[in-house]
Amino acid sequence: MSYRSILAISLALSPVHMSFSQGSSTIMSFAPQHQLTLSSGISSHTVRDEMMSPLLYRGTQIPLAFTYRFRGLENRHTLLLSYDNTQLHSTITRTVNDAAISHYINNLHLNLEYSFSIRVAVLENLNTTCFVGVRLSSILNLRTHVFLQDKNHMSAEQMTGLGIHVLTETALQQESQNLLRVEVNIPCISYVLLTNRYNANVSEKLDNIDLEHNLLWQLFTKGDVVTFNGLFEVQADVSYIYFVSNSIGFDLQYRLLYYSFAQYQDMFSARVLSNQILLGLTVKL
Amino acid sequence: MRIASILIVVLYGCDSMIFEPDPENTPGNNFELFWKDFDRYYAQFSLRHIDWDSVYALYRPQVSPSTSDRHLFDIFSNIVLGINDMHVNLYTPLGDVSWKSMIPAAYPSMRIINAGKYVQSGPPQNTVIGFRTGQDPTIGYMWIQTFVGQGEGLSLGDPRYLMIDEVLSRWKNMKGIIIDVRWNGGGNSINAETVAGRFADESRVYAYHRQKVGPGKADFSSWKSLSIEPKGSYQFLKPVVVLTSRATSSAAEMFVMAMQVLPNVTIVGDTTGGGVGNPVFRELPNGWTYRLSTEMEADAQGRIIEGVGVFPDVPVLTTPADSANGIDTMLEKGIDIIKQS
Repeated sequence: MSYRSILAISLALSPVHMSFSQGSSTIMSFAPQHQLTLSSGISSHTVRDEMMSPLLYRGTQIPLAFTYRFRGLENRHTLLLSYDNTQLHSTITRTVNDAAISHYINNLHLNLEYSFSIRVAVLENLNTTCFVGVRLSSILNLRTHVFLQDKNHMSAEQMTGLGIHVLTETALQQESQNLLRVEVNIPCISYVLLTNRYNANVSEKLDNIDLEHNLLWQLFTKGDVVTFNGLFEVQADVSYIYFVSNSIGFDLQYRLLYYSFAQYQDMFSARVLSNQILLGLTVKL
Repeated sequence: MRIASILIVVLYGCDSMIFEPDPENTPGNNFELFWKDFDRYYAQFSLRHIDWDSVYALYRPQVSPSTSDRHLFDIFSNIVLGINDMHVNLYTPLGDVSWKSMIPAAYPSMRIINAGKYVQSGPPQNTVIGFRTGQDPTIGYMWIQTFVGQGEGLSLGDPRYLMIDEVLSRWKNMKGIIIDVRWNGGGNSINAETVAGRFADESRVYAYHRQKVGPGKADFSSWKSLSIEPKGSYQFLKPVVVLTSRATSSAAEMFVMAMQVLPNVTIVGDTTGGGVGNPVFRELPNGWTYRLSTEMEADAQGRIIEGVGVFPDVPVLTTPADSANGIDTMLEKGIDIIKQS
């Protein structure tokens, strides 16, 4: 990471508070809060991995997500875990009695995120508070591409990225704890599967992997570090939380994840887009 | 409600903004994608002396928007047969196309002849590894029909091959073991190493491979070594003979190469099939599927085995005359080697 990047992140995290208010604050102040949210809804995945196919593969599924949020006076912490297992189809997917029999993908998606941010600005006229920090996110897409009924190929994309995290919270009603949140995260540096080979073709053999020992441990320890030149990734969340009582609320959230990378001197590119619409039950502890 | 409607539109509308449409399903597009895939990713043009640009020049003019599926299939078939690589295959609703095998029609070397003369009978065993005590009860005979099979989830090896541990625990006191892979057409090299590792005394390099990593004809990774490591709680280090034929191919050849570097092992029989390649599957907008080799493989001495095969330590063939007389010449040679060791 360049010195300029380090300096930029340090400045972003330094406790500089700016306020654009004229007069007294109208944004509600809270005691620190712990919130737990259990969500479900719809996940949509779109993949074009040229190393497997020139075709687009799409699918939707019902995901499961668990979120813990800590709302401090000056900072925010968020921990999220989400899971879905989706079947993706293309224009050439063959089905029998609505079951796909060839040219489809089974995609297991796991996402684990931790964000930390501190308040850097309060925009009184917009009822908005701005936070900047970092997010550590770890994503796994484990795919089985079924070409024909007895011919399939596994691939895996796994990246753990550290990035700049920007969060805004807007109170839509004055002195209300109902909030519209917008978050953007761009991983700047990521740890990815396998040196010199980003997309691991797991169906035959993996580089430098001993297949009779703990595969998961080796997958996570024998990787490579790339910056956003090698892996471009962006995550964006928009959510609205509405409390029906002092401690129970509903959280409607839209999440977007997009990443792309090139393999083998630009011989093949891969692009993945995941969208989620989640409705969750939030409990304030 | 309005917010939910907007979110649903965004959910389904985003990908059309980010992704280009699929290539159109036309004969020309299907040919171009097929040819370009091989051009970028196939690893063995130089080994097989194929001028891929000339293939384009010859066949592309024959493809037009009005080309029928049958005509396109014929063109692709000619191309696949011209490459003649056992890991280049075409799978279509009009039929499948694979290489022309080098195995002659009359080739008794690829199977056991008159089994009862050499091994005792016994009950059926698992579908991948079979084993019998020889008529000489100090010699065990094992056959491995295939190396096909994958494990569940992140386990990439098929647990059926772990039966080798049970076999070796029964045969600890055997003078030697014969492993017959004469009709083993390959499968998953992980399973091959699972078995071979049970005969390894220490870590030994048994092969080298390099992969196509760029679009240029010479864009390969560096040569990387493959090693066989001792595996399992017990390794059989007494004399072992591995029987091979021209039908021994792909992952079975990886097995033979791994066994060949072990000091207690002798390879007996015919040269193997000559094809490893680490093939990958690909597909086209018309639904046709094909496979192509992305790697070159060499043995421990650096000899390329693609299109050539692994040479046995003791070349022996079972001739049609031997077969007619109920003599498995290769197996008899293997038994002799163990008896004399």
